[in-house]
Amino acid sequence: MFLEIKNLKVTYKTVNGLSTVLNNFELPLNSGDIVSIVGESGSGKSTLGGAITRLLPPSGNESGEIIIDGKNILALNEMEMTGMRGTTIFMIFQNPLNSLNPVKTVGFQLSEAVKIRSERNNENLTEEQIKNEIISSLTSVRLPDPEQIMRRYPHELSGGQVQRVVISMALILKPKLLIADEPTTALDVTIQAQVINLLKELNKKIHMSIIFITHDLSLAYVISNKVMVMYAGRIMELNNTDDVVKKSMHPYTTALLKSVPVDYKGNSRLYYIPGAPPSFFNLPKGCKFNPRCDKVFEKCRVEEPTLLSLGSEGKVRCWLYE
Amino acid sequence: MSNIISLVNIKKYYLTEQKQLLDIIFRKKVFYVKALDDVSIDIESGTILAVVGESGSGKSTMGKIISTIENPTSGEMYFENTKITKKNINTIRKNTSMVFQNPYTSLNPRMKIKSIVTEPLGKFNEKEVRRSLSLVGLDYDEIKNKEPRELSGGQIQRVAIARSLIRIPKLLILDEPTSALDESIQAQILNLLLDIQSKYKLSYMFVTHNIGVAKYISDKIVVIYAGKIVEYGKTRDIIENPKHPYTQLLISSVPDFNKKELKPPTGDVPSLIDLPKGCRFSDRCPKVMDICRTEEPKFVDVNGVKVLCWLYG
Repeated sequence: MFLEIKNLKVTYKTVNGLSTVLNNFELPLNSGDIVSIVGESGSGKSTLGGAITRLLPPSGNESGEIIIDGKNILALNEMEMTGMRGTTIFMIFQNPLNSLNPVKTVGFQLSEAVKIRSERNNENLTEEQIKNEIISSLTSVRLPDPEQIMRRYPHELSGGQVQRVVISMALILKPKLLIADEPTTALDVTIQAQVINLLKELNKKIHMSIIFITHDLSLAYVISNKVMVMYAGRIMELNNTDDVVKKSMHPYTTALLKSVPVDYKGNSRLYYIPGAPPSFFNLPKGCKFNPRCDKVFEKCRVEEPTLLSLGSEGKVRCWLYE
Repeated sequence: MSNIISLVNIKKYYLTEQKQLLDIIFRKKVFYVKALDDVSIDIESGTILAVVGESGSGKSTMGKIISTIENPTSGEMYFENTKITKKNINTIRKNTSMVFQNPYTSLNPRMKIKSIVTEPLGKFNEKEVRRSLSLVGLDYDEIKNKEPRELSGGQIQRVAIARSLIRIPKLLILDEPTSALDESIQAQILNLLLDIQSKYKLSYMFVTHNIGVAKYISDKIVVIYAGKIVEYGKTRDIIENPKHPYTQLLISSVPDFNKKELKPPTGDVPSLIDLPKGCRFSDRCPKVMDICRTEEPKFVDVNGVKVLCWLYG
């Protein structure tokens, strides 16, 4: 087991009081896995990503255990945590421009990354070696003219190029865990496909585990080997990708799959989930999905189901499978 | 069938920088961004045309030219077979509306919903606002006094659609209306748009980068690359049997539940200031030939689909 989350609780302080987004959250992850986390906006996907990197906004507070490589990162102090970021955990954000310094050149920021890694691993590289490594990593993310790109500032590059620069930084730092929070939402489909192929390659080459946060189920299907469906801060379904997509169990997953347009005009009407995700202040009693579920029955309204294990890997939170 | 709108050889060039007096005197060379180059399309009345392409390909510029927000540099535009000139530009404006990608930025945040919806009429008309809001599935009495920030993403996009429908236009230009929404809300909006279209026999121009959405909503598809139309034809023909190498790669980079591997084109969209010689896709094309690098291809008709490629010429 490479990453283990036990008993995680994340709360946000707001004007209306404490809002508990994740409670008693558990997630095991094997080394080399690509897990997609899918769900509508406001289901707690990004909070989970922020919790693992300890990059929650100041109003957020987390407790419990997140164990990476045998270390509980929630027990580390800020200095030790900084030592973990980059080489152990690396995060890619939705807007890549936010993750680079706007007043430093790309080359400077990448050389910083190389220096940090060599410092942590006592590698002692020369300036020449550093430059060569940057160029080779920029070429492997298929950026043309790497020497040109190194001299540029982030705003001089297009969105897809900046996202690839961030990925090349991951390539340099060789993290054990990469958390990608909707890294392709701002990109075109063709660039998105290039980025997805790159991430898959990285996963194979340096055996990096990836947590891929997205709201696009078809994208999750293409990239990951496991899919976790979240709703109102809870895991609704966790299984191998093929099982989730082809034999979904939870009514929420089924509804999400049905709302993806795949057919031609006039052949069928798209299914949609009535209503909206609940607010964390006013969660319904019983199963959190029961007001929007088409298979709801008495028990769902009274008692919340636990995460049931089905088969070897599958887990589902639904009374239908009890 | 008659065409609601036709574009004939429309060009739109933007200056890279403002021309100054000194530049004119010294005849400084000016550079143009060729956002649209020689674009000709027809939208049949009562049908939906989807415009697909990468960012910077000129999709939105096309929408802006049809809705007369921008004037074309050259070319002609016909609305219901009448040529549009400066004098009768109002016939287009009366009969078309536009819905934008992000409703939070395209609607005034300080106005009440009822004022937002009634604004195109010029004066408040409760009956019309009620009708328009009920058309998009919203209850007038419940939301009339709310402000945009009080509504959810799906609701506010419905308000934007209600506003565009209040004058009962003939043509609706939808510029990525669902790309900021969650999938289940996107499904609601797409269903709604199709219902309204068949009820009122409207025509849509639907700008999107999502092929799945284009396939679900449109009768015809235009694929646009670096300011040029590369393929234009019936939706089914293009999705099932794409002819142009760019369309083929575009479709194979869209993730779906039938394939695990994505095959995107390599490289990036060319700069619209300094375009490659010959075919604009030649740098990235896997089937490139010698002629592609020197000469620009012309449209060829392949089984009813117009393709801009030397492979078929």
